[in-house]
Amino acid sequence: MRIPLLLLALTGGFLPPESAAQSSMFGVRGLGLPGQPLSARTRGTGGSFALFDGESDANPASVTALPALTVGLVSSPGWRRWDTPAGEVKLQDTRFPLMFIGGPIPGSRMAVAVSIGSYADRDYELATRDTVVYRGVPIAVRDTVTSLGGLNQLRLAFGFRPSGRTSLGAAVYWITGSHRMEAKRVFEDSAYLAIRQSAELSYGGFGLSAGVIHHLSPRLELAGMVRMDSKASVDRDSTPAYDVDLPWSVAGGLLWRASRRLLVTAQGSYRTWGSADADVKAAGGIGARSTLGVSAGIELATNRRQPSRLPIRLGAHYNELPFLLHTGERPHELGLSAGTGVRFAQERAGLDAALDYTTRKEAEGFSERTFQLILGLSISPYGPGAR
Amino acid sequence: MNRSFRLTAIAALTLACQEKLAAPVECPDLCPGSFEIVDTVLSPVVDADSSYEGYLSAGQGRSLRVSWQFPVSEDRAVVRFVARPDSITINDTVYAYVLDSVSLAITLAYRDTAVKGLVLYLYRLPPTVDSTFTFADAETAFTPASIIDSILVDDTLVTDRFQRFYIGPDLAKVSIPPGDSGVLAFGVQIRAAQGTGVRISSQSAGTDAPSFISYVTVATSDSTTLVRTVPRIVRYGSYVSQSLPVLDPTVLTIGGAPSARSLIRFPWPTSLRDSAQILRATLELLPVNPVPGLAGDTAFVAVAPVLADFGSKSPATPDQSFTTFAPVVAGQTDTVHVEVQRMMRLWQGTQPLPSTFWVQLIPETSSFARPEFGSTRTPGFTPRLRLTFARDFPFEGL
Repeated sequence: MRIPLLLLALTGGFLPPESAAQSSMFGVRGLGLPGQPLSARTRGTGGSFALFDGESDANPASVTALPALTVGLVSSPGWRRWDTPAGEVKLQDTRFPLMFIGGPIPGSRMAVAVSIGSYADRDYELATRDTVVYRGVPIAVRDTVTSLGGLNQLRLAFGFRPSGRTSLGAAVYWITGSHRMEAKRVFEDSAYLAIRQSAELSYGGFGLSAGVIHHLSPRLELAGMVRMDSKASVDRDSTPAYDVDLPWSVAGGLLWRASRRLLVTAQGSYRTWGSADADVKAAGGIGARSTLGVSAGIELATNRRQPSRLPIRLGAHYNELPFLLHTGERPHELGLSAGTGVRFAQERAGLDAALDYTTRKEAEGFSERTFQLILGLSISPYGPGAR
Repeated sequence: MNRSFRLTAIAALTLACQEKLAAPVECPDLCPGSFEIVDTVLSPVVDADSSYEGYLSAGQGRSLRVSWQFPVSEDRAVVRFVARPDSITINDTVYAYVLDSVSLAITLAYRDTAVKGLVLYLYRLPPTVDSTFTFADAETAFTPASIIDSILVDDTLVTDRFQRFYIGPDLAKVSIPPGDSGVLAFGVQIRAAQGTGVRISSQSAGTDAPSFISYVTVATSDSTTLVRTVPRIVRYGSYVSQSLPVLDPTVLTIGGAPSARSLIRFPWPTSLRDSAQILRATLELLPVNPVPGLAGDTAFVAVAPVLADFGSKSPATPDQSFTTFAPVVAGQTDTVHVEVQRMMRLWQGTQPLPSTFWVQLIPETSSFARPEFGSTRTPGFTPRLRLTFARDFPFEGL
């Protein structure tokens, strides 16, 4: 037990105030870029394995797949290139989109898990130059708007396996978080004092979800999930400001064991972010729209005797993005991923890694390319099978 | 296990510490909000702007005015020194002394070099010179017979210290009769190729102050104490003017002697007091006539916030960092702009200071300048407070 505690202490030391997915130009508007609280294994398959993965925060029924008490952490350094009419820029950051602990409840058919994951990310720093006219004189100004933070979700999930073929699950979410915003303007004319204003926006909401995994046959599994999130109340500096409706989510997936070495997964999801459109517009935003997401992937075992040793994972995903930069547009992302992993210390610890290359685009001239390394570390201190 | 764990921890730590988030963008495409900057002009509260005088008298500044045929003012400087004793004490022993020589010194603080042929005249004055001494008294006392010395000033000199020594027969010019109780007083007059004015340093000017030093020999066998100097500091220094200007209640006056200061009150709405971030604030004062003064002799309009509004007795804040200045020169008719952004913060918050400015001239009572600015009673010349401020940034915007 010392090792996971040590690891958690170590990682907690450099954990940012909010664990978020990644910084993106599509996280500037609305509530930000939706997070991906998924394990490195799932990210390696393009997210298509999420509904079956006990280490991911997607389907509460999947917690029954954890073989033993498991503690995990996902780290995600990323590199991005923005292309906007203002030019190109290369950006870089590191996020921790998921931490979890969970496992089966000894002597029962139930499992429980607690996780902290990213719900939406609003990290950005925008810099602009302009010339404004004050008192009849044009003055060059430089503006900077910074936002650090986002929304997180704390999940308590229960799973129940009534039979060997079916798992059921339910989870409750506490959606919380805040982001510190700061706006600065510096004038070229020193007669003008620089502007520096800041505010803290904090969010609160909750959600419920239910899920199922069913083995149709030894080779084919199906999974489904439905989730309802409440309105998020937004406070500015502890003063209520407005509410934003959060979406319903539905997702379904299949897992096909094509052979003893090959696993094929696919998933589709739909989130009713469009219900937030009126609230976003009322708050001065451009708007929001409901999103569709699909993904598919494979996991190929390179070692038949030890399938968990350096498997090859490949995946692709397409997701629409909820918050618009321009009215009437349909922002979306398309990504490819690859990954692998290894378990060691008598299968008590595992390290998974994935590489994800995603392009996001909206209107002409607004696009970004991201390259992410996803590292996942999970530890089962009592070993697989132990309860 | 240990090796893998270490590698993982090192990799995570290395990657976790790198952030580069700033991105150039064009608004409004990617801007979740924008600054709203407002430019506005406030006018003073009508009839709540006034001038008061009598704060400092002539001679209380660092300079004494001397002028001749100068349209701005006609002034004579007078100086009286502390009494020179008729004996000195050395090691608890009182000794008589023999006066060997005397030196008198004055410092020319400023003159207009466009006026050539400047001569400073030192006149002997009665030892009773004090604040009751008038311009008429000076005119009576300044006779050719009472001239101690004349100093021709090089036409290129703007400022210099002049020291004159009197020895032998010249000592009579500065001899002090027994009835004068050792008190020496002199006055300063000027002549030049045309009417002009000068400033000479007053007793407040430190080492530039007028000086009176007596060099004496003491009848003692100790050679180390044989020769002594007896310096005397200024007891009274001032200048007298032919006519004192009358304070015009319809305008805002600063400067002069006795010095005038002006109080200007502005309306201050709660929106500015509570939430606006003031980026620039400029007090604009409009001269109603060309600023009188000595050519090239720059004075400054000083503006300070008041701690409390008690009218003419309002105390200005003692923190000089909130006081701001703007130059004013002779003949100026342009608007005087004083940047007062720094003191605006004192007008904001939960316990703001009164929205009132104290306006005065620097140096006070030393300058020939006496600007008169328009008030709320002079249409077209009303003072203005020009504000540029930012409203709250719309951080709530999505």
